[in-house]
Amino acid sequence: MWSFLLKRALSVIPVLLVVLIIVFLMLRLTPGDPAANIAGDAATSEDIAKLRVELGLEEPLPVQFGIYMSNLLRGDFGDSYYYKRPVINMIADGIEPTVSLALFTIVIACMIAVPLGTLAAYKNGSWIDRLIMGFSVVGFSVPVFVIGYLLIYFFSVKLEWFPVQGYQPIEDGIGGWAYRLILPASALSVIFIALIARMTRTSVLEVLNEDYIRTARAKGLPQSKVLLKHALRNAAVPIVTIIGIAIAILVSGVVVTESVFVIPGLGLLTLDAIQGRDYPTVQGLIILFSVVYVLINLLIDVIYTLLDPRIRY
Amino acid sequence: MPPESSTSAVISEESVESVDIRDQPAIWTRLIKNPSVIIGGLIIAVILSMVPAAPLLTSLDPTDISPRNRNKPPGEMTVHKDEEGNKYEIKAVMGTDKLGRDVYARVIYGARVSLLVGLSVAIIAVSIGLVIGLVAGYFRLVDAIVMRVMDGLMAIPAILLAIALVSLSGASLFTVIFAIVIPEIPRVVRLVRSIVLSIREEPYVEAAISVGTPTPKILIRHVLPNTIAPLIVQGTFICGSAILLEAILSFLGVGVPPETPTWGNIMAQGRDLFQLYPHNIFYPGIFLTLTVLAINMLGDGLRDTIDPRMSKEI
Amino acid sequence: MQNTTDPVLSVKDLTISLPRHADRNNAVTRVSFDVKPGEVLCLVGESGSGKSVIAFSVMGLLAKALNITHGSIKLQGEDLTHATEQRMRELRCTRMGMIFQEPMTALNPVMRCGDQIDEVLQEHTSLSAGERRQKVIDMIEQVHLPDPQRMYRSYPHQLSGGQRQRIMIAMALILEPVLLIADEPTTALDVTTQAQILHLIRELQSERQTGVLFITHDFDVVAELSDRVAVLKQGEVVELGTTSQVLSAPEHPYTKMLISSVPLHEPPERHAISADAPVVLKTENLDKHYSTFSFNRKNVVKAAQNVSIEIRKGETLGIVGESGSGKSTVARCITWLIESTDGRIWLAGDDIAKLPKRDLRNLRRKVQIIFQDPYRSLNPRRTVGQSIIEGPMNYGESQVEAMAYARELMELVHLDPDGLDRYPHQFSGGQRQRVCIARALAMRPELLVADEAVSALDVSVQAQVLKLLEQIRDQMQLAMLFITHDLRVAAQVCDVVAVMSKGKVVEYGRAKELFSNPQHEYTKALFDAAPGRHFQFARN
Repeated sequence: MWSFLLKRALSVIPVLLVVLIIVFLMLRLTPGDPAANIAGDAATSEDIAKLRVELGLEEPLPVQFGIYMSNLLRGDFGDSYYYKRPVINMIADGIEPTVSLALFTIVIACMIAVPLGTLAAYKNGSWIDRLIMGFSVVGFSVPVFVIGYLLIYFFSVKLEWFPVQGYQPIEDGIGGWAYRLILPASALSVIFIALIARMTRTSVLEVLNEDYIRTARAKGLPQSKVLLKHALRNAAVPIVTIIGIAIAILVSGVVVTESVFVIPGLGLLTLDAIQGRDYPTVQGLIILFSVVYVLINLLIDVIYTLLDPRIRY
Repeated sequence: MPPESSTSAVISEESVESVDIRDQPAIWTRLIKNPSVIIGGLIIAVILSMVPAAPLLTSLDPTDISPRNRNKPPGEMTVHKDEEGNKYEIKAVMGTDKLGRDVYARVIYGARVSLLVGLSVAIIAVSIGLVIGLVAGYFRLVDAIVMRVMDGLMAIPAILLAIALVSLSGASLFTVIFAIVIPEIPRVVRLVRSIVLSIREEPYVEAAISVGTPTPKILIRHVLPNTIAPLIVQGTFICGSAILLEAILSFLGVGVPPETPTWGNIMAQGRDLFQLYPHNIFYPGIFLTLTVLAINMLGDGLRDTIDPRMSKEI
Repeated sequence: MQNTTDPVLSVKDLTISLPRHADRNNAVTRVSFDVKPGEVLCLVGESGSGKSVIAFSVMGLLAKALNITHGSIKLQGEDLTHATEQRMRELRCTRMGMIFQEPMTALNPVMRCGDQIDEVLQEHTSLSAGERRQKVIDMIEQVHLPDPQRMYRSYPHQLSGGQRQRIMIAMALILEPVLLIADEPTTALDVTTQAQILHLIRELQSERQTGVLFITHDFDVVAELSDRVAVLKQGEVVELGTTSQVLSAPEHPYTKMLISSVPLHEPPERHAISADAPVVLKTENLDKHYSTFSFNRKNVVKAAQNVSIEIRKGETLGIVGESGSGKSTVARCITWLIESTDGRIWLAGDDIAKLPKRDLRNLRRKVQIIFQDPYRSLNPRRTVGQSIIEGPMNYGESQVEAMAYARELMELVHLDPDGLDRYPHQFSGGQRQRVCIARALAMRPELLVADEAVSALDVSVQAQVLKLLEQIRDQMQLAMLFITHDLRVAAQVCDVVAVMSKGKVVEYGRAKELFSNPQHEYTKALFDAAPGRHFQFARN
């Protein structure tokens, strides 16, 4: 068990290394002069040359990579060009809103999607199954900003039930915090409900065809017990997997949702940084998001071993 | 359940892994009987026809800026000049944006960019992914390296990768396509690789090895055909998500140049006046959603008919 | 009160319809039989005969697409065909229990075995937790599992196939039902395990006077276990009678054909291979090890150790063993599908290990292999002809030449040469296996390796393919390596037999002597475990 955990944890290293290399090369190898891009259209050639030195672009690639890695390993993500503050501090400021939004979304999505998917599988082929799956395809296809604006238009502009945009930190009161998160989290959760409900349905359906379900029925268990005790428990692994994959989609959803609802989180910070050509900040954010993705998937692998006694790597 | 629960000694027909592509008639009849394929296909056909027919559907230039026509709600009349300078009025069915451009004309022309991005991303990502996946699945050494790179690429959120790539190399249609292709490749590679890994264990591949068929021929003759059906399905879904991602990039202001009429750009330019003039967001939003929905429905239908194995995955 | 001789199960005129577009209208047509208390009734038939459908219909577990259209099923006089779902649930496990074919998948992988048995008690009794636990432990003991406390806590994947099947039996019988339905419960097990499980079923059912409905395709198992037997053909009972009556003096032609297809246990008299016939294949101390690296240690699995065998032209060597014995590993090393770890292989006098890669390619065509699963051995997208000529064309034959030879081969394997243009799915399992034989022969091999090549076939088809293989071997003077788990098959086709266990050849000798006078303990145990060997089957 412990040896598995250690092994799995170590396997994260090459992936992270690849991420760091990709991010490093992206700045250096994209066509065109990154310094010119960063400096903007109004910059003179002296400005660009100065920037090149500042960015360390005049050094040979391996040297650049060494500096880059040693800075990262010391936890130094550099300073923002635009705000002239350490990137790490800016990230720290943005974490609360983003994590709040993400967690809120995932919780809503799971609470709705897992029962829906199970129901659809159980009523396989019925109108209720078709309805749920129909919703799933639609939910998967509507862009989050369209849903976001629809919700704002009806619930904020027309009905005036919710504030149009904005965020309230959790320390100013949990009620207001949750109240202001309801709309953005609902908008963002649609795609996850679609995704998780669909995955739940498929994996429950698949499990329902397994021999041990037949055994459970041959024991004289009622359908409800067969479904909840035997089927859902076995279907859990693929469902958890899809939640792990969903994290990647969640990031893009967070960026868009924060932009639509003006939530001052990491997503909005990313957009600001991109528009301000604030490369150290962009780099820091990409690395942060990738590390989070890798760590969450590590966590999910650990959860597998708890869900399924057969998995012992 | 088959009429006879299959015994382990007697292998039932169901153990045949893949669907026989050679059964063309059966597949076509199943395809045209599948409601998702029909509905999805019809919607796509309509939107596709907007590409060549755009000049027939509207006489207006989608990039024409006109201060006098600014912010008209849907249904109001707008004033335009023809080539001789004569003024005439046209009803703006979908209203106009803050620069007075006709939203209807922009939506119609916007279909071009969306479909172009969707199709080219799907074709490029599938082709590159297919080659890498085939090689990685068959040669262990390549596999170890390639899959690490793919894992790394997968770990970087697609949207951040795309945003960063576009912002670094400057906004143009080409960079947008490139930026969306990159994060899609690992998914294709993984799919192809998993198929190769399972097919190479098939006895018929082993039989081919023992009759002395060289590896490249085995790949092309015995392995490649098994990837086609799943790749058509995967390609369809990639097309849908590429259209979505292109719209998101434009919407966030990091996509194709803002003067190009794309659905995302129309919405991006309608953002600040959204509470007063929601039509700037809703009309392109409806078209975008319908298109992606149709593509996803088509993908679902294709998967259920030509590649039942994949129904297990998402 | 029921009379003790009244049947526990009475099936009358049972007809179950198949969904439209199936190859026939009914899965089962007008089937009638009784199972009396303490009696074992075997339903025997080939694949597709509808035998499992009958078992599932009794339990009320039929797939939705199948419907009972006619007839009745009575359990102790109570009609089950019209029982409510609620009533069926009450009856399951209390009055009728069922065990299944695949012990590997029939248990829930994420639940402890004890808890899975306990669930039966929770559902059908009002015993306290302590009483239930005691009862489960008792039952685990009664199915002769070691260390019941540990078994209770184990997950299914920690047990062997035989142990899992014992857990299934414990589950089915814990509430002492009057009827036990067994659907091919030993088909997936090795012969020694099969013998133990059959013995256990016999023991428990005679103790409790349970009526048993036993589904099987294997006449050996019928001979071993049953009191009466019903023979099914395409959903109809063609013959029903006592076991000795049906097996020794069958009346229906179909039964006669099936029973005469069962290979004999004694090797027939075979003409000796002359001692100066050239040796085609010889291995010396062949080893194949698999290494898996765990975090801090290396685990080596020795799949084959010190295997030394020799096959002459015109001779068949059989490698017999249970699953995991390493018999297929040897076949795969010899055909170079995997590389051996150590030892030497000579093919037609050439030491393979010493040859450069280029010459290996030319040697490769001299060894051809036929696999077990006829449905997966042919590329479904290529015509049978394309599959057959692929090899010769790899070695430079022209398409015309190769095609002409393919037509000859199709006739040789008794298939219509015009079938070359068809796709594999247009052929039955037995026909596909013939195509695979033709593909192997197209390479003009010197050694033909048959890796469980008839194991997936029904007994009547099996007999035909075996006959064909022998005919071809004699006609073309091939050396043949025949890998099988089936002692009867080995006895029929092999001149020399090697018995393998745990990667080693434990006994090696002429078939005639080895079968009549086994020396090694393992061989003896294997022969003893073979069901039905003391039974005299009818011969035409």
